Formats: sequence, structure tokens, C-alpha cells
Amino acid sequence: MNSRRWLNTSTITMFSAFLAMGVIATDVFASDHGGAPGVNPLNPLDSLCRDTALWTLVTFLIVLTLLWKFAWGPIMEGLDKREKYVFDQRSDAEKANEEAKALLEQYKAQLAQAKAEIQQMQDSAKAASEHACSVMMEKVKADIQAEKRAAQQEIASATTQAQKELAAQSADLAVQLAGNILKQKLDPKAHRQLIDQAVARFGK
Amino acid sequence: MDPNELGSHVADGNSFHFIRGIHLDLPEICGLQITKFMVIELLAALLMLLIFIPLAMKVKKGLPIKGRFWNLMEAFLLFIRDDIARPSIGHGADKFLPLLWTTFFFILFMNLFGMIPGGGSPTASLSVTGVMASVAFLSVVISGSAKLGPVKFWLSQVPPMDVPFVMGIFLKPMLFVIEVFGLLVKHFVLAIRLFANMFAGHLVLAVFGAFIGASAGSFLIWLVVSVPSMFVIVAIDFLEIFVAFLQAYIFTFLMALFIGMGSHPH
Repeated sequence: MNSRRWLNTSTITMFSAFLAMGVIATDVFASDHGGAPGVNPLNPLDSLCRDTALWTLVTFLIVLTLLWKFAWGPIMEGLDKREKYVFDQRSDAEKANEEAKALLEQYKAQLAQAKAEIQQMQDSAKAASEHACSVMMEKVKADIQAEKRAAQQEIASATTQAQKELAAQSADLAVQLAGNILKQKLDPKAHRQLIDQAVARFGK
Repeated sequence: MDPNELGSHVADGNSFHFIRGIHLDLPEICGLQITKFMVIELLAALLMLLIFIPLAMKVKKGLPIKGRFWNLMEAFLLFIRDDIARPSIGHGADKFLPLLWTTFFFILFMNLFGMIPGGGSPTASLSVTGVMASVAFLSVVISGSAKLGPVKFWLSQVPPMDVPFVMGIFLKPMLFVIEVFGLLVKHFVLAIRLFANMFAGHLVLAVFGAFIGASAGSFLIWLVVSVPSMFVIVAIDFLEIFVAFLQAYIFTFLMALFIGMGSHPH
């Protein structure tokens, strides 16, 4: 089980790659390169060579000169320019930020003022409407009261009138009844009828 | 195994060797034998021109550049400016930037050419590192002399001492000799360090390669030897790529430090 775990595709690929590289290395290292005769390449002093040194110096100086003129100079100039650009941008951004902050403060103050004004207007409108409402209520109450009083007076006078009329009619009926009684012979049956008639008339 | 044969994989030569015994012999021009390292130096120089002149054209406008590769190259340049030159040299460091930039990339590219099969590192030769160290030495002396004056530059090699005048007469000349010797040694060590690191690294690679070559007689032995050897070679290759950058950085950093010390004594 364990042997299968490490024997996977990547291990085999890696092994094959190393094997292939080994084949190439064999080709390189088994063949004779033939170093320079009389020179021990492992001795650094033996490998000192005036031509190589001069070549190195000349190459270095040429590349230094060319790069100084065509690369390092423009690069330094560009980097300085960019640095200045970045600093300028930053100071501009800071300035803009300050301005924006000031504007924000101004707008906040205006907003607060507007809010206060709105509140004040709301308050005054509310007070005015409440006042108008209470005035109206008072008036309505007074009207109702007046109407009630008038109605009560009317009822009272109507009641008095009705009582007067009832008294007058009662007196008339009593007089009339008394007259009828006196006119007629009083037997129990007639007496009874007389009373019923009087009551019926009274009911009308 | 023949040490000369082993060394020939690392050292300079008159031809480029590839697989299957294919080799490219280099010509002799006007009495000057062109060597492998000379060609590689030339290629490194060309590569620098091909990379940094186009980069300059992009950066020149002063706007941020686009592209991963260009940004990577610019990051190198800015690292050398902000983390090597300016802290080490201080005021006036930017004047030395072209020298430091060229030194860093010249050494780095020469180091990295050693990682290409069939190539080689010219920095694994004292002739090359010696010249680079001489350039460093000359820039220290010239920049120091320009800043302090030639006489004061050499006199400032002796540290200020609070000693009686009579003792100073004896001590100061001795210290002068020691300090000047120290100055030379510092730059000599600069050459040795770079050379030794590159040479040793490539030699180790060659030794492991040689194991494979030496075991070619029997298939079974070859199989047992070549796979682990290649594994080690690949691992050391990674280390060598790191060393290529590290040594270029160290050389440039020390050069900047020496220039700074020469211009601002004690």
C-alpha cells in the first residue's frame, strides 16, 4: 500500500526527467574537453589572463558609457520626474481633500440650519393649528351650548303651553261632564257610559 | 578523475562545448584569442543594452510604466538606489548610481550565464573579478580625492587619534601603512569573494556531473549514480541562482559602502 503511495505519476515523471538529464550529463562529462595545455584550471592564478582582464575592462567601460548616456541618465531623469509628479499629485490631492472637508463642513452647517428652520416651521405650524383647533372647538362648544339652551327653552315653553292647554281642556271637559251628568238621569249603566265617553274624549 | 578535465567545465576556454561532442571553436582576431568568457561578457553587455535602453525610453516620460518585466527591472534599480546607494553613500549618492547599476547588472548577468547549459560564469575567473574590484577601488580613490582633495583623502585614511604629538609621529605613519594596506585588501577580498563563490559553486556542480560521467561504464552503476546526482545538481542549481543574485548584491553593496567611507571618512 505504502509503496503504491509514493509510486505515482509525478514521482515517475521526476525520475524520468533526472534519468534523461543523466543521459545528457553522461554525454557532457564522459567526453574529453581538452583544457588548455600546461594550464591547471583549478588553480585560480593559472587562469589569470591579461587579455580577458583587458576585455572585461573595455566591455565594462563601453557598456557603462553607453548605458550612462542612453539608459541611466534618462532613467534617473524619468524617476525624478515621476517622484515630482507623485509629490505634486499628493499635495494636490491633499489640497482637494482640505477643500472637500471645508465644503462638507459648510454643507453640514447649512443642513443643520435648514433642519432647525424646518423644525421651527413645523413647531409654529403645529402651534397655529392647535390654536385654530382649540378656537374652533370653543366656538363649536359654545354653539352647541347655545343650541342646547335654545332647545331646552323651547321644550320648556312647549311643555308649559301643553300643560296650560291640558288644564284648560280638562276644565272644559270637567264642566262639560258635570253638565252632562246634571242633564241626564243617573242610573248605573248610564253612569258607566258617561264616564267611558269622558275618558275617551279626554284621551283625544 | 582528472582535475584538469573537471576544471575545464568551470574555467575559461577557447570553445563552447555542447552535447554529442559538438563544440564551437572561437577565432583569434588580430592576435587576440577570443575566449568563452569574453563572448559571455559581450552577451551580458548586449543584454544590458537591450533591456535598459528600452526601459529608459519608457521611464523617461516620468509616468508609471506597464508590464511585469519592466516593473521588475525598475524594482531592481530602485532597490539599488534606495537600499544600497543612498544609505551607504549618503548625500550625493545619485551621482554613483550609473556605476553601481552597471556593476550590479554586469556581475548579475555574468553570474546567471553560468546557469545556462553550455555557458559559463566569467565571474568564476580572477581576471574578471579582479578588474571589477579594480574599478571599485578606482572609484573609491577618485570619488574620495574629488571630494576631499587628493592629499586629504590619503591622510584621512589614518583615523583621528587623541595621542601626544611625539607618539603621533611614530604611530600615524604606521597606521597609514596599515590603513592603506587594509584599503587594498578590502578590494582584493571583493575580487576573491565573488570569484570563489562562483568558482566553487560551479565546481560542485561539475563534480556531481563528473560522478555521472565516471559511472558510464556499467549501466547498473550509472543508473544508481546518475539519478541521485541529477537530483543534487538540480537542487544546487537553485542555490546557485540565489548565489548569483546574492553575490551581485554583496559586491555592489560593498562597493557603495567603500565609496561612502572614502568620501566621508570617520
